This record gives sequence, structure tokens and C-alpha cells, in this order.
Amino acid sequence: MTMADKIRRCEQMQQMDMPQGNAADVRMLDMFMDIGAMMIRNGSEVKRVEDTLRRMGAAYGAERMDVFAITSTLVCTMNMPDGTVCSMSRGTRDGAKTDFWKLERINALSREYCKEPFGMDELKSRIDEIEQMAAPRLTVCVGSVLAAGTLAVFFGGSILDGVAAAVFAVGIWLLQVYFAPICTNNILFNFLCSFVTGVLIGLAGRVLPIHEDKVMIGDIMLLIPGLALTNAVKDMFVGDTITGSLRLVESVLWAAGIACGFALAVFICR
Amino acid sequence: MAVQIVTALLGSLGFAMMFNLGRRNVIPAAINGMCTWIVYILVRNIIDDVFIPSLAASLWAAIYAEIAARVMKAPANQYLIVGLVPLLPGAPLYYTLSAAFDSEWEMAKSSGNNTLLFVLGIAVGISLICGFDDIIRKVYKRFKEREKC
Repeated sequence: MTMADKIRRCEQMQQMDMPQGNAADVRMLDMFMDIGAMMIRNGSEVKRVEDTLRRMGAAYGAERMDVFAITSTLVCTMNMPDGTVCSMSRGTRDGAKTDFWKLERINALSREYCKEPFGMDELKSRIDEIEQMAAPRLTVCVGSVLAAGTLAVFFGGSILDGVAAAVFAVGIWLLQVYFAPICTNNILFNFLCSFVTGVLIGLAGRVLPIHEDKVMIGDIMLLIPGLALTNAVKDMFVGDTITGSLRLVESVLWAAGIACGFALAVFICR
Repeated sequence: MAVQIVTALLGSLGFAMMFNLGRRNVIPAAINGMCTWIVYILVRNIIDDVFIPSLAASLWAAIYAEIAARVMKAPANQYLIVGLVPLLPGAPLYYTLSAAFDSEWEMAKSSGNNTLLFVLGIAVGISLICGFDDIIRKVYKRFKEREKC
């Protein structure tokens, strides 16, 4: 189909009050956007998102999928063989915590779909099923406690330091669960979170025989943006320079917020 | 040193739980964290530096992650991120800023340097494997196509 044909077709569509392809395609694209947004939120590289959407689109029967994704936006245009075009964009920024189990499930879903496309309703119900599956809070809490406690020892603390770091990790976890949804600015959240934790550790250090620096390092490790950094590097290297730089700057600012928060706490508590 | 290896394992395990890895992925990912640190220590014994050992360790973590992803049929990223946990420069970052607040600029400079070298080592390691993985995959694909002919 030539461009002139496409334009003619488009004009016809507008006359029919249907400029955006047919309803089924729009609905399908909406679901693809759900999938893409969920992948970005849960710690996937951008390349992978684009790849997944392209493949799923091809499996659905699209002639071409044009996907553009950065950390905060997902834009996708689906060109159908009959000349209709649907396009959609979606904001992907909300304070969801990274959940690799979700990512893996989405990945499995898309593979299955590409192998043998199934109906729209089934896809919808399976996406919803994955979307609603929240990470068990207890696991995240235990994970934070374990990570902070052992990493404090890892960086040269005593057993008591590890225990103290583990206790304060519960505090960080509580902040992440209850305060993060209110404070959507990530840098500010990290700054406040580290400041509060740092002050508490500093006060505890006056009473208990702990090495404050080791305890703080253990808790810093929980906040440090390792995931953002790793993804930034990967994104940049495979050619998604925009996303990579966004993430890199983000993670540097984030780290600066954490470092300033703890350092200020140390300064105050002395 | 044994303490560090055990705590590296447990710390990575903690992160695996924090990121809610699937149940079958938790153990391989945590083992990656431990091995990464073992590689770091081994290389550090030979070359007393920050950059080279962290580069070697992140190379290892990335290779392990790619292999684990193929074996377990799951995204590689999760193994990589958990595996890199022991290399994250939490301690140098802390000492940089705390020295800077005390106006001990020499100390701040050397810690800051360490932080950057760790990050650089991780970044270069990941990029190398990321690039080679792509090449290997394409060569393999072409090889298979040729076999079919």
C-alpha cells in the first residue's frame, strides 16, 4: 500500500469518525502498553521492552511496530496491514518497587503469546493477574533486614553492628512502604530516609557500643541505586543513550541524596 | 575473608528477596553474589588495585548472569543485579562524604576515587559482556543457518 493510498484511507476513516484504527486494535495496543509499562516499572532494560512489544505486535498481526521508550514514557505506533494506524503513549512513572518475579511472568506471557497468540480476553485476564500480584511485604522486609545486617558485617562491622543495621533496616522498610507513596520525589525521599536513619543510628551510637559508620554503610546499601546504575550502563551500551543518560543522572543524584543525608546526620549527631 | 564470603552470599540473598525474585531464581542469584566477591578477592590478591578486580568481578557476574539466564530461561538482569551487590561502593561513598564534611580533603579524594573506580569497573564489565553476548548470539545464529543449507 503506497503512502497516497494510506492518506486516502485515513481520510475515509476520518469521515467515518474512526481515525484511530478499529476498536479491537486499539484495545490490543492498550494491553501491549500495559505490558510495556509494567516491564519498565519493574526493572527491565528499554531495549527489552521495545523488543517484546515489537514481537507481540508481529504475533498479533501488525505490519510494523514503532516503539519508543524512555524511563518515563512509552510511545507505540501499530501499523496494521489494512493501512490503519494506531498510536498510543503512556506515562510509566509511579513509585512502584522493582519486582523481578512480575518481570519474569510478563516475559513468559509474551513468549507464550508470540508462540501462539491467544484471544484478547484471555490476554487481558492474564495481564491483570500479573498486575495484581504484589510482592509479599514480609519477604521484602526480611530481605532488607538480611541484606543490611550481613552487609554491615561484610564491610568490617562486628556482629552487634550487623544486628543494629538489621534493626534500622526495618525502619527503612517502613519508610519505603508508608512514606514513599507520599513523597514521590525520589531524591528527596532518599535524602530524608537516609537522614532520619542516620540520626537514629547516631543517637543509638551514644548508648550502644556500635561502630556507627559500619551500621550506616549496611543501611546505605539498601538505598544505593544499583539497579538504576546497572540498567543505565546496559541501556547506554546497546544504543539507548537517552534512557541510559537519564538513568545515570538519576542514579548519581540519588546517590548524592543518600550520601548527603547520612553525612548531615553524622555532622549533627557529633 | 571467610566472613566476607558468607556475608556476601547472605547479603545478595537479602537483595534477591527485596527484589522479589521468583523462588527458583533466588539461590542461583545469591550464589552469583558470593562468586563475584570470591573473584574480586582472588584478583585483588594478584593485582592490588580497585579497578581491575572490580572489572574482573563484574565480568564474572555478567557471564554468570547470561549463562544462568539461558539455563533457567529467565531474564538475565535479575541475576546480574543481585550478583553485583557486593561490588556496590556503599562504604567508599559513605567515607567520601563523611570525610568531606570533616574537611579532610585528602581522605575524601581517595575515597571518592575508589567509589568512581568501583562504578567504572562495574560499568565496563557489564558493557563488555553485553556487547560480546550480542556478537556471540549473532554468530551462533548465522552458524545455524549455514548448517541448515
